[in-house]
Amino acid sequence: MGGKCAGLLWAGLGIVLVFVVIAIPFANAGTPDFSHSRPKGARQRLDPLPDERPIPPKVRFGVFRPFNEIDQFVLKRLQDEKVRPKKLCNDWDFARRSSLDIVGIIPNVEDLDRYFRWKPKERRAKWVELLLDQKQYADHWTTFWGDLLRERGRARGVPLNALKNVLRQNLNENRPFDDWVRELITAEGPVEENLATSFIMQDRVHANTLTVSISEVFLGVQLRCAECHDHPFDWWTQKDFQGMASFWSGTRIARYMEEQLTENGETRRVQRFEVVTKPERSRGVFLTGTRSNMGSGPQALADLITRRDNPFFARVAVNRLWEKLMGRGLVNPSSNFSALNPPSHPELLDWLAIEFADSGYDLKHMLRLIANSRTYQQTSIEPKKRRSRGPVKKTPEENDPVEGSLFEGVVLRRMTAEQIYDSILAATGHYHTGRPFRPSIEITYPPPPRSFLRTFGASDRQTIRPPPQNGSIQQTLTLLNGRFLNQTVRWHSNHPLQQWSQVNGLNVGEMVDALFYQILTRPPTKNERRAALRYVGDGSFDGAWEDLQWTLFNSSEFQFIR
Amino acid sequence: MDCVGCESYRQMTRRQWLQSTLGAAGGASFLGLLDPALLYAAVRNENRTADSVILLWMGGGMSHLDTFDPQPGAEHGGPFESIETTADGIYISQHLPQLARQFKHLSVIRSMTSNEFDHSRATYQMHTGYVPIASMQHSTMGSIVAKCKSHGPRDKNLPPYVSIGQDWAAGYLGPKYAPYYIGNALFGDANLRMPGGLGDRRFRSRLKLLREIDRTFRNKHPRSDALEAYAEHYNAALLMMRPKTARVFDLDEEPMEVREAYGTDSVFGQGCLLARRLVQKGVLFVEVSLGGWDTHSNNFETVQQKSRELDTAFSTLIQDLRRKGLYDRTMVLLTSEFGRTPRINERQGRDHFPGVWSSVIGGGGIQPEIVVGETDGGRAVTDRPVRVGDLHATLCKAVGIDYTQSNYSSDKRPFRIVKDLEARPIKELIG
Repeated sequence: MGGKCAGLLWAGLGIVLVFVVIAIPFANAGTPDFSHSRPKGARQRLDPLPDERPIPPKVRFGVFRPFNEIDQFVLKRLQDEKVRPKKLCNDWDFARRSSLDIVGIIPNVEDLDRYFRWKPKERRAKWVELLLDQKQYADHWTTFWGDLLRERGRARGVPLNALKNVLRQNLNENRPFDDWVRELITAEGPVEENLATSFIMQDRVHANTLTVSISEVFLGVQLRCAECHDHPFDWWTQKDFQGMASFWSGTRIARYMEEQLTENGETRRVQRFEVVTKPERSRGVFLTGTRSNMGSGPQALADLITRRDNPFFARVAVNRLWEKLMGRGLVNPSSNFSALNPPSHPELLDWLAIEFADSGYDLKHMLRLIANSRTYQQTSIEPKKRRSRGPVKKTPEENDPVEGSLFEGVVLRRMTAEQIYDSILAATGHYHTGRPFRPSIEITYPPPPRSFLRTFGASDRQTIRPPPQNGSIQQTLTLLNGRFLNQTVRWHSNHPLQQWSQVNGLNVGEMVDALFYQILTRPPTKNERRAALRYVGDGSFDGAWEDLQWTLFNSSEFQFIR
Repeated sequence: MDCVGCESYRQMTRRQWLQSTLGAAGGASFLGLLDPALLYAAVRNENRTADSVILLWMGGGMSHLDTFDPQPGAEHGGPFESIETTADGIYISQHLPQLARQFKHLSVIRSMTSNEFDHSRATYQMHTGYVPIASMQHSTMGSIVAKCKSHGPRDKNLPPYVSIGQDWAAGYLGPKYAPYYIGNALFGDANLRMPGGLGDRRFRSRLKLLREIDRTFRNKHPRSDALEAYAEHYNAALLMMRPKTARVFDLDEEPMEVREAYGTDSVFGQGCLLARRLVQKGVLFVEVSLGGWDTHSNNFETVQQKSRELDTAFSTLIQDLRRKGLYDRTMVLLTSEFGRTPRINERQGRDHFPGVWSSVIGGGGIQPEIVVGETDGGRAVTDRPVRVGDLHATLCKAVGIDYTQSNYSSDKRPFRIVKDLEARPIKELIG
């Protein structure tokens, strides 16, 4: 075995090209975290997270000034590669993008009104604070972590939506990330009394399933293949898998009967479940070979995963947040930390990971940092010069960075199913009424297969998968003809814009503007305004307002995060 | 039940429809990207054999030992008997009696073999011919057939590739050749009609306004693949909404006895019926999935139950295709991601077994009544192993695609249709 064999295997499979694309040698080779060839020994895989953070490089790249440390790393790299970053996005685009990324819905006219009253210099930072304090913050990130943890609302022996409620509460309190991860892994006792057990209960404490899931979500490594055979292209062997799975060998589900008082005063016996752990029975061996002084049960596993020097834990977590906000991970995709997939900015990744650990694993702190960086606030719009030329037809060189991997601009992303769904509800005033449609956070996951959410790619919660980016004809048909959009755009008196209009006494033209603010988060262009005004006429036909909303929701601009 | 709007809609000609809906002269497309006539345009021309493919996908790993490679009396054979079929010398499980009567039109490959134990990896490989890698998505055979066949559906507004029950990402060939996904054949026509009570004048004016508003954003992002995909989906969706096109998805048009013959209580059966309707309209590739074959426990009970559903649907499909004169130009392939272990485990189940499994194949371009390969009682392939690449090469040959050619991704990377250089079409089947 060893490097030679792996090399032959690659060539034999004819994936040499792919290899070239994903194994870009990164320029800042100062920290040799990731080795290019398949490492031989188990201990030399990925360096533990260092105690001291890399020093952000001093950089001035023309007119571009860093806003914070993130930008120092990114700009330095751009300077080295001689790639000019894009301009900053405008305040509208920033409000929309950050709102979708942090709270999962588009901003409404009232909040935008406040936003534009703030002084331009402090506007964006204040807006980020406003978003982080909104209660939808927890809802949005519950879906994010719920997808990763495959949270299912209905699982045998677990109260309805138990895991979702646990996640939601943790996120709402901004509880330290390492703390709640430890709790999910080590939870034991009767399920009713300790809802955190729901994470391992929903997989029936199945050691292999838990191993695959925990390794992918918290360590960013794919052990799936190693379940049956040594991983062909990666560090992991079947022995590694068994070592990780053995942490669970002392854990099982026990049943017990409980007497319950019914409404008419009778007692009846109901079956209950609890998670019981006998750590002395487990023989876990951690991937990195590190040992815990807490033995080898789930306590030890949780300790080994969340300890500060774990090479993966903090890096993987910040990389997930980065990927969510930037549309592309520093290690990309984020669930694939592997020898063949090195980070584009290793020092920045380490800096962020150490910042995360030092902040007490504060998720909001990291989001704030990223959202306030210049890197995040760049525009996604193509510079005018490049527009007319059509696709760039340059022959890629072997060492060229993958497009977008330098973060010289922000990539257009499709909204997730939940973002589209909740944004439509919010913009049409249905978010809080709960009728006839409930916001996604109140739906038991996974949603039914033919629902709006699933059509738009909501997770089935069986496998861990990034949200699909492709769209489909079915999605288009659902927006064109489906019940959901055609009902939500009804022009009713509780519609937020009708109320906004009453408070502010808007005329038809101002209403058109407000509709654009509310749905596309920008004023209409002159042509759009003219077309819309021609369409709604004197504004007396409710149907015209419905059509205008329908149109804006069907536009590509609505469906993308710009 | 028809409203006036729908009726006038139905009477519109294609040209009128395009002009009115898309608001542009001469059939230029909705967002100005594509000529709809070229949407699924011809790419390559070769000698025609089969025009279409129906893939019946047995998801989860169908037990070959209890279906098409029966071993009655053997220690690992399980309780099922085998029965004679109308194909000389071919025996199959007793729980597929109706199919046995149609078998003179079919052949069986008993020597399928691979190395993939994992559902998702094996399914991926069987569909794409490649092993999954994290950095990209390969295109499925459905997409490849959709791209490489010399002609699209006769109704140019239909997608060339439809998948019923299992969704597939676009892959390197891009969204144009991604499958039109239908979760459940009973609701195949959902959302193909305008929202009730809207009236088509209003629908059209909505679209006109949309076209106007959409321009701003698209101009700012001229090089975005994602936006291009968005536009293509709108074009394709609007074309499919044409009443004449959309009705192919409406199973209520079929006589009750036909629907019953496919099994009214079987979503898979109704999917097979929809597949027949689609190939009748010239759709190039239809996949219909029947899941639930992952029988780690209660193998025999489950397989018997699944077999009943499969038996009714598959046998009716063959008869129906033949009756409509479609069988000679439709290649039908039934397969799975792997077989199941000869060993019967303590839960009366069988586990994943990529060493051996069976495929059933027939129709256009395929010789019937052939048995390909031999197994040692279903435990190992003893003669003429058929690998994924061989099966794909056979499929390509049957529909007249050169399997040694390469397709190119948008960034100009070549992908051979059949990656395995050793792969060859199965001669016995192609003739």
